[in-house]
Amino acid sequence: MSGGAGAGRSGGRLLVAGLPFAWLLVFFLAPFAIVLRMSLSERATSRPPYRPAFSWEEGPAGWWEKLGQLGFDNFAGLLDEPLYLDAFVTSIRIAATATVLLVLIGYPVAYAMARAPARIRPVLVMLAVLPFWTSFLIRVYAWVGILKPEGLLNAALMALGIVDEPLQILDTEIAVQIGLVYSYLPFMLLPLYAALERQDATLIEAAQDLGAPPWKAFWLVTVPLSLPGVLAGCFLVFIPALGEFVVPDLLGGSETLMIGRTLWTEFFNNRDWPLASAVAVVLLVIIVGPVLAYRHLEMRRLEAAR
Amino acid sequence: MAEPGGAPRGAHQPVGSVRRSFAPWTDPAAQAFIRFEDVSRRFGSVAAVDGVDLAIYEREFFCLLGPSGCGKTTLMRMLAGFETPSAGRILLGGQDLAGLPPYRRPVNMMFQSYALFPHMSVAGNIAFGLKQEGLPRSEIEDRVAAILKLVQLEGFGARRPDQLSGGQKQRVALARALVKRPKVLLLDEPLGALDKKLREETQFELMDLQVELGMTFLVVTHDQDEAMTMADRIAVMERGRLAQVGTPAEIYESPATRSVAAFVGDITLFEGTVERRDGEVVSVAGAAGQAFRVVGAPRDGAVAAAGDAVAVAVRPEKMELLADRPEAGPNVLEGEIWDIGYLGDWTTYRVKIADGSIVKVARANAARHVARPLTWEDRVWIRFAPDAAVVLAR
Repeated sequence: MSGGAGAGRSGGRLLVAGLPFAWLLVFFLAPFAIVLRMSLSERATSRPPYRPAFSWEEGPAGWWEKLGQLGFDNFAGLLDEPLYLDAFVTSIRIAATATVLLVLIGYPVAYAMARAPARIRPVLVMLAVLPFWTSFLIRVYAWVGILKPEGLLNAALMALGIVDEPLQILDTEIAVQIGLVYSYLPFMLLPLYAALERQDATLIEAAQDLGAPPWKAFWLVTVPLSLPGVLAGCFLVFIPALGEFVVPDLLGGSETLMIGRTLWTEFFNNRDWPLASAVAVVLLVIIVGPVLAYRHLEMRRLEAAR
Repeated sequence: MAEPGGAPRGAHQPVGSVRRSFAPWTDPAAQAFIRFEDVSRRFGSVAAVDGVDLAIYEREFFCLLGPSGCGKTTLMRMLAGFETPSAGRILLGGQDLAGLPPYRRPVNMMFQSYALFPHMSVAGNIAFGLKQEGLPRSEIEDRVAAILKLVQLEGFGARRPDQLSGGQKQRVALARALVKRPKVLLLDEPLGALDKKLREETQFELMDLQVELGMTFLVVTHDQDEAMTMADRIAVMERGRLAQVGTPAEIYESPATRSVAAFVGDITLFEGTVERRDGEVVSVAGAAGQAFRVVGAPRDGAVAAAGDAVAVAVRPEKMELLADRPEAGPNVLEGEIWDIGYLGDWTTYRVKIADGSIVKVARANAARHVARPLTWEDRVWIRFAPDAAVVLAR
């Protein structure tokens, strides 16, 4: 009697659970398979500019046969040429520095937001998200106008008599850091704010009641309890910063070599799709490492909480 | 038991005898340990606490009782240092506490929500306060172990707060405050989150603990049974002011005002006018034509003179319920049984009297079988003795 309804319900449940998986399959795994195949292929002067390692006509049996004689030349090429290794190292360094700076800047801001009167908190959150209302590209481009030698920043510094001649900030790593910190601040603020805002204020009172001065109560109670938020913010910021293209391209000049730009150059300037794909695959592997570590930590935390 | 409290132990006596003879508030030479002097706390234009004068003595178990929003928690938080008085001062052991931050005050608080640190173990929570004092590690360990034994949580030191039951959390919160050996322990609705059975057990444990440790306890509660059971003295608060301060028996038997009478226990108020006053005996004409005679002047200095509007207040258990018409006289009311609530040990009858109002009468069920039990719509007579009632002027 209830069989039909039950089947309908479980069918609906399957659909709800299955949709995200289908989404991931179509828009993430499938493109990744294409990129992976490309990275294992050979460069060619054709259209598209590579000779596929696998093709549909060969069928699974043919693929299996090919697997033994696959060329990892493109990956080997990454190691041979110090340019790529440098780009990876620089990217990790810049992204890590930006992440640390973002924690140092974002924490006090998020703390102030969380401690603000409950009435104005929604306004503060909206202000933090407000930059998203204009194009990311335009906002980064605006920084060119601020940072260039005859730009607003130098004009202000000189007018105040702090410097005698314009500082070269644009086209340096400092400009990239400024751009990254500016662009990713909301991604750090929101998880930090969420973690701090839901903290029970009586815990701080309890710590003070037990003899801890306010700074110590903050350090021993507020900070440890907000660590999950800090970690979430770091991942939300570090991962996209690692592959960032627009910020180093517009603000970093030709000197700052980040992996996103290298990828772009290989794809569009050198038309070496297989090599560019290999760069992309390595980037993904670098990112998957910390994500897995984070998941592991998160699981342990949930385990401990039970 | 171990010795977690730092109070002087030399004069330790058996629990009962200490309690019986303990009444420093009757001794004019006794020095108050905690003194609130004309303390007010205003939030904007609202006075949460309004001109409170209160003296609490060392080793006293003191309860602040009142409905929510009466200012009792604000009063306690001012003693802990979380609120600053808008006016007046608070003294502890003769020292003015003004300007002393919470972390320097020799008082500790058990929070209503317990406020256990979720990222620390039970032992870590209890050790937190001792670490702030910079005590050596071995002493901290010893004291944590001793207090865990005292609150019967041995072996729970490594647990996390979210692995504990409500009753266990309550004990950890208590232990965390007690281990600091405060001069005064503040307890904000300490039993509010426990179920009824556990609450009753814990009431007596808290009382034993307080006598055992020789500490001063200040408890905030909205539960009158809790206050009556545990406290040496109770302060009933109403809209930021103290309505009455006294022992549980004084509060119950001689309430100062109509609202105290109504808040603590059940009571029936008969409105009326004073007819005559002969020394201790006050004759009151009820608004519905009843005649009352009460022995004992109204409390709180308000002298009832002829013509004053007063209320004659009688507790349900101090009235007799009669099935046959008694001799005519004062303090007799005729009515009809409107409702019966059988509670096992007691039965409460709601009797509708001539003017249509309801009088609550309680009867102990002393015998298992009654030959002619009272039942709904029976005609009954209520009678009470002149010293069973109180005249309330306010």
